[in-house]
Amino acid sequence: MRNFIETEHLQYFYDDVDRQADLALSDVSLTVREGEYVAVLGHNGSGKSTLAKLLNMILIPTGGRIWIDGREITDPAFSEDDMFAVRRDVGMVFQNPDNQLVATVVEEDVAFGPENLGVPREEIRRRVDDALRIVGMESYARHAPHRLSGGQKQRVAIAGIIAMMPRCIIFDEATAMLDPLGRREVMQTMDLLNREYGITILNITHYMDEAAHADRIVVINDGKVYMDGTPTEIFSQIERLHAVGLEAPQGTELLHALHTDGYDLPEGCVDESACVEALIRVYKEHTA
Amino acid sequence: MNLLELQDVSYVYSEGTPFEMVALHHVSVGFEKGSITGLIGHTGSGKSTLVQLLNGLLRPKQGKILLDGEDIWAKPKEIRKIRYRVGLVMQYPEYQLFDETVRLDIGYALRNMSLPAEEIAERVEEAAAFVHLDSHLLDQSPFALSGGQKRRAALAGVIAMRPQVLVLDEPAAGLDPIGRSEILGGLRKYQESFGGTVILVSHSMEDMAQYCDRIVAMNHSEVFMTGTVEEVFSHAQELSDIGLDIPSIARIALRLQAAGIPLQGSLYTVSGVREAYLRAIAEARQMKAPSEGGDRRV
Repeated sequence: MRNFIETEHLQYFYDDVDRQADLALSDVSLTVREGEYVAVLGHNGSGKSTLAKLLNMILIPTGGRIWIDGREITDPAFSEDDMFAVRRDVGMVFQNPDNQLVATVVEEDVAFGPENLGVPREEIRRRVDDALRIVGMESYARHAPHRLSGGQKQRVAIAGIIAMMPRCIIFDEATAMLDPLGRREVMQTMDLLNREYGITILNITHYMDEAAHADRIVVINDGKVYMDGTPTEIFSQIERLHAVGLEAPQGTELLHALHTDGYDLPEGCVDESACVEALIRVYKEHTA
Repeated sequence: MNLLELQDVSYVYSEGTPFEMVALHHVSVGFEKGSITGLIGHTGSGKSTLVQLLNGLLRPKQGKILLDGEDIWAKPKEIRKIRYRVGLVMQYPEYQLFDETVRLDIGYALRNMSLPAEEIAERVEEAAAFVHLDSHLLDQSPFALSGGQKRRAALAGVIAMRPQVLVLDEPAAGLDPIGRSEILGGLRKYQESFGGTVILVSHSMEDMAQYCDRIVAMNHSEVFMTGTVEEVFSHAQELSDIGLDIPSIARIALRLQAAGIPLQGSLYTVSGVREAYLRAIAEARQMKAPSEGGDRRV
């Protein structure tokens, strides 16, 4: 697969009136291939949201280079039209669904993006219907967004992004405010977009079980890439995660603790069923 | 003893209009003095309405809310006093910061309560310590703080009132594991030092298991289940049916028990299950050891 996102020594320095001047990203070199499903972890203030905003040009880096789909977006010759093309290709879903819905009817909200892109009317109709079907909200097309549940609102927000036909979607803690069912709905939607439609997914999250679900995990700390690997690789280094204030999923933590107690249990086991099986095996071995 | 109690409370939004919506339907529930109670329920189950009824932001259409045995609406003109006794921290409280410095912001309610200056100063420092907000930040503008620090400052503003009951709606949403444990652990410490009563709304079943004594589960405007953490999380299937969940570690423990491993004790945290598992192995070996050794005396 070819590279969709590439960054080289990326740096970003906040210098607003509102914020203390600080180095949000100091040196990030990262490659994401087209169609990958990547979770991004890091404590608050580690720089992960800044990274997301740099990738669709909400922020412009203070140093380093970025390529999206082989084109350098940090090139001074990159025009404003090119910038809109990047924003269409790299969609973002934010934490609070109430801040992302603009219209009073669900289908109008989903149509908002493509309308702004100047997509022809019939094409918009088709895209809106398709997008609502993909997120499972087609029967709510004429409902008022403010009467939906959190998970439903978030799926409408995702439909609004899908209707612009992006090739990559960045979820910036998109499940943080949702109840368990809402989280499951949004995670299933991410899976579907990735596996069925080949959309590249970056999921920035504090939920370790969501990270365990991705193909790859990138841990950002102190404005740099701290770890990069498969969920099993990352979660088998629990001490390194604890050192930067992160944890592994509960099952993984349990097996790690018992491993430290001297029991023959695997490290980095991220699947709940596999954890249960390993625990049953060890219990039998020690009590037979 | 219940410090705060709802007796047969109902609440309806936009009553008598086409948008009429029942948010709470004959709810009776009590919150024990000195306990931390977790309030769980799917979006729209009535949690936020309940929370706003507790400190008199909403007035029930039917039923009574008792604080220390007294109806909080007995003297409607004095409802503001109830709000000092039942402190409410809403979702995203950091959006409510407004004053020039963090110190002034945390002390805002205390000045409204007309407390002496020394006491305000003391309480502000104390509240900041509970939420792990560094004291060198107190003289900065609240808008110069990071998101996590702002959240702490907003929480401190309510804790500083030393309310009898502290009600918090998703205080740790969007925070990393350390931020969550500092804030929720700080609440536990607050509760222990003042014998305060805390009511916590959260969607994180893991946090609920770790920090709460009791759980109230809401479903479709009614109380679905109440009990200790242990009692409520033993009903995995029922919770799943109403769109909730149990902590991942509790699911693992239930499956181990189903496979015949006799786990006992508190099975809702990683350390609890670790101890129970080690104990189960040790006990199974002890049971066998004497018969193998052959020196069993009866």
